[in-house]
Amino acid sequence: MPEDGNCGESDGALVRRIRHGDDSAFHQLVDRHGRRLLGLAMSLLGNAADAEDVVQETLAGAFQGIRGFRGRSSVGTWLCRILVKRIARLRRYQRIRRALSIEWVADDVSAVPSGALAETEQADIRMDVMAVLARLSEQHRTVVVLRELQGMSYSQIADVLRVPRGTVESRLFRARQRLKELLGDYLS
Amino acid sequence: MPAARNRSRTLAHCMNTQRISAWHDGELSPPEGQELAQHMAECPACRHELDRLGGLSRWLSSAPMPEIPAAALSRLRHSLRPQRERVILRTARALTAVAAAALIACSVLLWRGMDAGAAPAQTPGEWERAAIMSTPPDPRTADEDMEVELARSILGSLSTEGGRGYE
Repeated sequence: MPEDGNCGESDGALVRRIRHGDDSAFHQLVDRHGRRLLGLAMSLLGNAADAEDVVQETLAGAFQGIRGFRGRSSVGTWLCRILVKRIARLRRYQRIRRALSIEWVADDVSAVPSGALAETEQADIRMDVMAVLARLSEQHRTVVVLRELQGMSYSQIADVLRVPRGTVESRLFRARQRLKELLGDYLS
Repeated sequence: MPAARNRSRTLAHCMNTQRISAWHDGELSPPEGQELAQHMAECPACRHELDRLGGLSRWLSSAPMPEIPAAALSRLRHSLRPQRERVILRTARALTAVAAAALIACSVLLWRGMDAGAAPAQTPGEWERAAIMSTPPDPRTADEDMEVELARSILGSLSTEGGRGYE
Protein backbone atom coordinates (compact mmCIF):
# COMPACT_ATOMS: atom_id res chain seq x y z
CA MET A 1 0.00 0.00 0.00
CA PRO A 2 1.28 3.45 -0.70
CA GLU A 3 2.31 5.47 2.29
CA ASP A 4 0.03 8.29 1.45
CA GLY A 5 -2.47 9.27 -1.14
CA ASN A 6 -1.51 10.17 -4.63
CA CYS A 7 -2.78 13.73 -4.51
CA GLY A 8 -4.27 16.33 -2.22
CA GLU A 9 -4.18 15.89 1.51
CA SER A 10 -2.05 13.24 3.14
CA ASP A 11 -3.72 10.26 4.80
CA GLY A 12 -2.61 11.65 8.16
CA ALA A 13 -4.43 14.93 7.51
CA LEU A 14 -7.55 13.01 6.48
CA VAL A 15 -7.38 10.98 9.70
CA ARG A 16 -7.20 14.20 11.74
CA ARG A 17 -10.25 15.56 9.92
CA ILE A 18 -12.17 12.33 10.52
CA ARG A 19 -11.35 12.57 14.21
CA HIS A 20 -12.97 15.98 14.20
CA GLY A 21 -16.13 14.49 12.75
CA ASP A 22 -15.61 15.27 9.07
CA ASP A 23 -17.34 12.48 7.14
CA SER A 24 -16.16 13.76 3.78
CA ALA A 25 -12.59 13.03 4.82
CA PHE A 26 -13.55 9.41 5.38
CA HIS A 27 -15.12 9.29 1.92
CA GLN A 28 -11.82 10.51 0.50
CA LEU A 29 -10.02 7.77 2.38
CA VAL A 30 -12.47 5.21 0.98
CA ASP A 31 -11.92 6.55 -2.54
CA ARG A 32 -8.18 6.35 -2.04
CA HIS A 33 -7.91 2.88 -0.52
CA GLY A 34 -11.25 1.21 -1.20
CA ARG A 35 -10.41 -0.12 -4.66
CA ARG A 36 -7.17 -1.64 -3.48
CA LEU A 37 -8.77 -3.17 -0.40
CA LEU A 38 -11.51 -4.67 -2.55
CA GLY A 39 -8.90 -6.08 -4.92
CA LEU A 40 -6.99 -7.62 -2.04
CA ALA A 41 -10.15 -9.05 -0.49
CA MET A 42 -11.26 -10.53 -3.79
CA SER A 43 -7.84 -12.11 -4.35
CA LEU A 44 -7.90 -13.63 -0.89
CA LEU A 45 -11.53 -14.70 -0.87
CA GLY A 46 -12.22 -15.27 -4.55
CA ASN A 47 -15.75 -14.01 -4.05
CA ALA A 48 -16.96 -10.49 -4.82
CA ALA A 49 -19.88 -10.48 -2.40
CA ASP A 50 -17.81 -11.67 0.57
CA ALA A 51 -15.04 -9.28 -0.45
CA GLU A 52 -17.37 -6.31 -0.44
CA ASP A 53 -18.83 -7.31 2.92
CA VAL A 54 -15.45 -7.74 4.53
CA VAL A 55 -14.13 -4.44 3.14
CA GLN A 56 -17.24 -2.73 4.45
CA GLU A 57 -16.60 -4.25 7.88
CA THR A 58 -12.96 -3.21 7.63
CA LEU A 59 -13.84 0.39 6.91
CA ALA A 60 -16.47 0.42 9.63
CA GLY A 61 -13.90 -1.02 12.08
CA ALA A 62 -11.35 1.57 10.98
CA PHE A 63 -13.92 4.32 11.42
CA GLN A 64 -14.67 3.18 14.95
CA GLY A 65 -11.02 2.75 15.85
CA ILE A 66 -9.72 5.88 14.15
CA ARG A 67 -8.91 7.43 17.53
CA GLY A 68 -6.71 4.45 18.31
CA PHE A 69 -4.66 4.92 15.16
CA ARG A 70 -1.26 6.12 16.32
CA GLY A 71 0.32 6.55 12.92
CA ARG A 72 3.10 4.05 13.59
CA SER A 73 2.35 2.48 10.22
CA SER A 74 0.76 4.04 7.16
CA VAL A 75 -3.02 4.25 6.91
CA GLY A 76 -2.89 1.83 3.95
CA THR A 77 -0.98 -0.76 5.97
CA TRP A 78 -3.30 -0.27 8.93
CA LEU A 79 -6.40 -0.80 6.77
CA CYS A 80 -4.77 -3.78 5.15
CA ARG A 81 -4.02 -5.29 8.56
CA ILE A 82 -7.64 -4.92 9.65
CA LEU A 83 -8.78 -6.47 6.38
CA VAL A 84 -6.46 -9.48 6.61
CA LYS A 85 -7.59 -10.11 10.20
CA ARG A 86 -11.24 -9.91 9.23
CA ILE A 87 -10.70 -12.27 6.31
CA ALA A 88 -8.98 -14.75 8.63
CA ARG A 89 -11.96 -14.53 10.98
CA LEU A 90 -14.41 -15.01 8.10
CA ARG A 91 -12.47 -18.03 6.86
CA ARG A 92 -12.50 -19.59 10.32
CA TYR A 93 -16.25 -19.08 10.46
CA GLN A 94 -16.67 -20.53 6.96
CA ARG A 95 -14.55 -23.55 7.89
CA ILE A 96 -16.71 -24.25 10.93
CA ARG A 97 -19.89 -23.81 8.90
CA ARG A 98 -18.56 -26.10 6.17
CA ALA A 99 -17.53 -28.73 8.71
CA LEU A 100 -20.99 -28.63 10.24
CA SER A 101 -22.70 -28.88 6.85
CA ILE A 102 -20.42 -31.78 5.82
CA GLU A 103 -21.38 -33.61 9.00
CA TRP A 104 -25.00 -32.95 8.21
CA VAL A 105 -24.62 -34.17 4.62
CA ALA A 106 -22.73 -37.25 5.77
CA ASP A 107 -25.54 -38.06 8.16
CA ASP A 108 -28.33 -37.34 5.78
CA VAL A 109 -27.31 -38.11 2.20
CA SER A 110 -25.77 -41.53 2.31
CA ALA A 111 -27.06 -42.30 -1.21
CA VAL A 112 -24.54 -39.98 -2.97
CA PRO A 113 -22.03 -42.16 -4.85
CA SER A 114 -18.54 -41.81 -3.41
CA GLY A 115 -16.94 -40.79 -6.73
CA ALA A 116 -19.42 -38.01 -7.48
CA LEU A 117 -17.94 -35.43 -5.12
CA ALA A 118 -14.43 -36.06 -6.37
CA GLU A 119 -15.56 -35.68 -9.99
CA THR A 120 -17.33 -32.42 -9.21
CA GLU A 121 -14.29 -31.19 -7.36
CA GLN A 122 -12.04 -32.08 -10.25
CA ALA A 123 -14.33 -30.38 -12.72
CA ASP A 124 -14.18 -27.25 -10.59
CA ILE A 125 -10.41 -27.12 -10.43
CA ARG A 126 -9.38 -24.57 -13.01
CA MET A 127 -5.77 -23.88 -13.69
CA ASP A 128 -6.01 -20.18 -13.26
CA VAL A 129 -4.39 -18.02 -10.66
CA MET A 130 -7.33 -17.78 -8.31
CA ALA A 131 -7.96 -21.50 -8.33
CA VAL A 132 -4.31 -22.25 -7.61
CA LEU A 133 -4.13 -19.61 -4.89
CA ALA A 134 -7.22 -21.10 -3.34
CA ARG A 135 -5.34 -24.36 -2.92
CA LEU A 136 -2.68 -22.75 -0.77
CA SER A 137 -3.00 -22.58 2.96
CA GLU A 138 -4.39 -19.31 4.26
CA GLN A 139 -1.00 -18.15 5.53
CA HIS A 140 0.68 -18.92 2.23
CA ARG A 141 -2.06 -17.42 0.09
CA THR A 142 -2.01 -14.20 2.12
CA VAL A 143 1.71 -13.73 1.84
CA VAL A 144 1.73 -14.51 -1.91
CA VAL A 145 -1.14 -12.11 -2.62
CA LEU A 146 0.44 -9.32 -0.56
CA ARG A 147 3.77 -9.77 -2.31
CA GLU A 148 2.90 -10.77 -5.85
CA LEU A 149 -0.43 -9.08 -6.43
CA GLN A 150 -0.19 -6.11 -4.06
CA GLY A 151 3.53 -5.54 -4.56
CA MET A 152 4.30 -5.04 -0.88
CA SER A 153 7.82 -5.21 0.49
CA TYR A 154 8.74 -7.77 3.15
CA SER A 155 8.71 -5.04 5.80
CA GLN A 156 5.23 -3.91 4.80
CA ILE A 157 3.96 -7.50 4.84
CA ALA A 158 5.57 -8.01 8.24
CA ASP A 159 3.79 -4.88 9.44
CA VAL A 160 0.43 -6.02 8.10
CA LEU A 161 0.71 -9.55 9.49
CA ARG A 162 2.51 -8.51 12.68
CA VAL A 163 5.20 -11.13 12.21
CA PRO A 164 8.98 -10.77 11.98
CA ARG A 165 10.43 -10.01 8.59
CA GLY A 166 12.27 -13.35 8.59
CA THR A 167 8.94 -15.13 8.97
CA VAL A 168 7.64 -13.34 5.88
CA GLU A 169 10.70 -14.47 3.95
CA SER A 170 10.41 -18.12 4.97
CA ARG A 171 6.63 -18.18 4.59
CA LEU A 172 6.87 -16.71 1.11
CA PHE A 173 9.58 -19.17 0.19
CA ARG A 174 7.46 -22.14 1.33
CA ALA A 175 4.39 -20.74 -0.43
CA ARG A 176 6.32 -20.48 -3.66
CA GLN A 177 7.62 -24.02 -3.27
CA ARG A 178 4.03 -25.18 -2.89
CA LEU A 179 2.93 -23.15 -5.92
CA LYS A 180 5.68 -24.72 -8.00
CA GLU A 181 4.52 -28.16 -6.87
CA LEU A 182 0.94 -27.34 -7.82
CA LEU A 183 1.87 -25.92 -11.19
CA GLY A 184 4.38 -28.65 -11.99
CA ASP A 185 5.68 -28.41 -15.55
CA TYR A 186 3.32 -25.58 -16.39
CA LEU A 187 6.00 -23.05 -15.44
CA SER A 188 8.77 -24.56 -17.55
CA MET B 1 35.15 -36.49 -6.75
CA PRO B 2 32.47 -35.23 -9.19
CA ALA B 3 29.82 -36.90 -7.02
CA ALA B 4 31.12 -35.11 -3.94
CA ARG B 5 31.14 -31.81 -5.86
CA ASN B 6 27.52 -32.41 -6.98
CA ARG B 7 26.50 -33.20 -3.40
CA SER B 8 28.06 -30.02 -2.09
CA ARG B 9 26.38 -28.07 -4.91
CA THR B 10 23.01 -29.61 -4.07
CA LEU B 11 23.51 -28.69 -0.42
CA ALA B 12 24.48 -25.15 -1.36
CA HIS B 13 21.45 -25.02 -3.65
CA CYS B 14 19.14 -26.07 -0.84
CA MET B 15 20.65 -23.51 1.47
CA ASN B 16 20.40 -20.82 -1.17
CA THR B 17 16.88 -21.46 -2.40
CA GLN B 18 15.26 -19.27 0.24
CA ARG B 19 17.82 -16.55 -0.34
CA ILE B 20 17.13 -16.73 -4.08
CA SER B 21 13.48 -16.11 -3.35
CA ALA B 22 14.42 -13.05 -1.29
CA TRP B 23 16.88 -11.90 -3.97
CA HIS B 24 14.19 -12.25 -6.61
CA ASP B 25 12.10 -9.86 -4.52
CA GLY B 26 14.99 -7.43 -4.12
CA GLU B 27 15.06 -8.04 -0.38
CA LEU B 28 18.69 -9.07 0.13
CA SER B 29 21.29 -6.60 1.33
CA PRO B 30 23.91 -5.63 -1.29
CA PRO B 31 26.66 -7.81 0.24
CA GLU B 32 24.31 -10.80 0.45
CA GLY B 33 23.15 -10.22 -3.11
CA GLN B 34 26.72 -9.99 -4.34
CA GLU B 35 27.62 -13.23 -2.62
CA LEU B 36 24.60 -15.00 -4.09
CA ALA B 37 25.31 -13.63 -7.55
CA GLN B 38 28.82 -15.06 -7.39
CA HIS B 39 27.40 -18.42 -6.39
CA MET B 40 24.80 -18.38 -9.15
CA ALA B 41 27.36 -17.62 -11.78
CA GLU B 42 28.67 -21.13 -11.33
CA CYS B 43 25.48 -22.94 -10.19
CA PRO B 44 23.02 -23.83 -12.97
CA ALA B 45 20.54 -25.25 -10.43
CA CYS B 46 20.26 -21.94 -8.65
CA ARG B 47 19.94 -20.07 -11.97
CA HIS B 48 17.18 -22.45 -12.93
CA GLU B 49 15.50 -21.76 -9.59
CA LEU B 50 15.65 -18.02 -10.24
CA ASP B 51 14.15 -18.54 -13.71
CA ARG B 52 11.28 -20.53 -12.25
CA LEU B 53 10.61 -17.84 -9.67
CA GLY B 54 10.55 -15.25 -12.45
CA GLY B 55 8.10 -17.40 -14.41
CA LEU B 56 5.92 -17.83 -11.36
CA SER B 57 5.80 -14.09 -10.69
CA ARG B 58 5.00 -13.34 -14.32
CA TRP B 59 2.24 -15.93 -14.32
CA LEU B 60 0.73 -14.58 -11.11
CA SER B 61 0.85 -10.97 -12.26
CA SER B 62 -0.56 -11.91 -15.66
CA ALA B 63 -3.83 -12.77 -13.99
CA PRO B 64 -6.24 -9.89 -14.47
CA MET B 65 -6.94 -8.03 -11.29
CA PRO B 66 -10.46 -8.61 -10.15
CA GLU B 67 -12.89 -6.07 -11.53
CA ILE B 68 -14.10 -3.67 -8.89
CA PRO B 69 -17.57 -2.46 -9.77
CA ALA B 70 -17.99 1.29 -9.33
CA ALA B 71 -21.22 0.55 -7.51
CA ALA B 72 -19.25 -1.37 -4.88
CA LEU B 73 -17.17 1.70 -4.04
CA SER B 74 -20.29 3.81 -3.95
CA ARG B 75 -21.91 1.33 -1.57
CA LEU B 76 -18.83 1.46 0.65
CA ARG B 77 -19.01 5.24 0.85
CA HIS B 78 -22.68 5.21 1.69
CA SER B 79 -22.40 2.43 4.23
CA LEU B 80 -20.44 4.81 6.43
CA ARG B 81 -23.33 7.18 7.04
CA PRO B 82 -25.32 4.60 9.02
CA GLN B 83 -22.06 3.76 10.72
CA ARG B 84 -21.67 7.33 11.94
CA GLU B 85 -25.29 7.28 13.04
CA ARG B 86 -24.71 4.00 14.88
CA VAL B 87 -21.77 5.54 16.71
CA ILE B 88 -23.86 8.58 17.68
CA LEU B 89 -26.72 6.32 18.76
CA ARG B 90 -24.36 4.18 20.84
CA THR B 91 -22.86 7.28 22.46
CA ALA B 92 -26.34 8.61 23.18
CA ARG B 93 -27.32 5.29 24.74
CA ALA B 94 -24.22 5.29 26.91
CA LEU B 95 -24.87 8.84 28.04
CA THR B 96 -28.50 7.99 28.81
CA ALA B 97 -27.37 5.01 30.87
CA VAL B 98 -24.90 7.18 32.78
CA ALA B 99 -27.58 9.83 33.38
CA ALA B 100 -30.04 7.19 34.59
CA ALA B 101 -27.43 5.72 36.93
CA ALA B 102 -26.65 9.18 38.29
CA LEU B 103 -30.36 9.85 38.81
CA ILE B 104 -30.80 6.58 40.70
CA ALA B 105 -27.74 7.29 42.82
CA CYS B 106 -29.01 10.78 43.64
CA SER B 107 -32.44 9.41 44.54
CA VAL B 108 -30.90 6.84 46.86
CA LEU B 109 -28.71 9.45 48.50
CA LEU B 110 -31.64 11.82 48.88
CA TRP B 111 -33.79 9.10 50.41
CA ARG B 112 -31.03 8.17 52.82
CA GLY B 113 -30.57 11.82 53.68
CA MET B 114 -34.26 12.16 54.49
CA ASP B 115 -34.04 9.03 56.57
CA ALA B 116 -31.07 10.44 58.40
CA GLY B 117 -32.97 13.74 58.85
CA ALA B 118 -35.83 11.96 60.61
CA ALA B 119 -33.54 10.32 63.18
CA PRO B 120 -32.50 13.52 64.96
CA ALA B 121 -36.18 14.17 65.65
CA GLN B 122 -36.21 10.99 67.69
CA THR B 123 -32.84 11.51 69.20
CA PRO B 124 -33.76 14.60 71.21
CA GLY B 125 -36.77 12.64 72.54
CA GLU B 126 -34.51 9.92 73.83
CA TRP B 127 -32.04 12.44 75.03
CA GLU B 128 -34.73 14.32 76.85
CA ARG B 129 -36.01 11.13 78.49
CA ALA B 130 -32.50 10.20 79.56
CA ALA B 131 -31.93 13.66 80.89
CA ILE B 132 -35.14 13.57 82.91
CA MET B 133 -34.31 10.15 84.31
CA SER B 134 -30.88 11.18 85.35
CA THR B 135 -32.02 14.47 86.91
CA PRO B 136 -31.82 14.28 90.76
CA PRO B 137 -35.08 14.99 92.57
CA ASP B 138 -35.64 18.51 93.65
CA PRO B 139 -34.93 19.13 97.30
CA ARG B 140 -38.27 19.12 99.10
CA THR B 141 -39.39 21.54 101.69
CA ALA B 142 -40.46 20.43 105.25
CA ASP B 143 -44.14 21.08 104.42
CA GLU B 144 -43.94 18.97 101.34
CA ASP B 145 -42.36 16.12 103.35
CA MET B 146 -45.24 16.26 105.83
CA GLU B 147 -47.78 16.18 103.01
CA VAL B 148 -46.10 13.13 101.53
CA GLU B 149 -46.08 11.36 104.88
CA LEU B 150 -49.76 12.13 105.34
CA ALA B 151 -50.62 10.84 101.90
CA ARG B 152 -48.71 7.62 102.56
CA SER B 153 -50.50 6.95 105.80
CA ILE B 154 -53.93 7.55 104.20
CA LEU B 155 -53.03 5.26 101.31
CA GLY B 156 -51.77 2.63 103.77
CA SER B 157 -55.00 2.61 105.79
CA LEU B 158 -57.15 2.54 102.65
CA SER B 159 -55.26 -0.38 101.13
CA THR B 160 -55.52 -2.34 104.41
CA GLU B 161 -59.27 -1.82 104.54
CA GLY B 162 -59.78 -2.57 100.91
CA GLY B 163 -57.80 -5.79 101.16
CA ARG B 164 -59.85 -6.95 103.97
CA GLY B 165 -63.15 -6.17 102.29
CA TYR B 166 -62.20 -8.33 99.23
CA GLU B 167 -61.33 -11.23 101.31
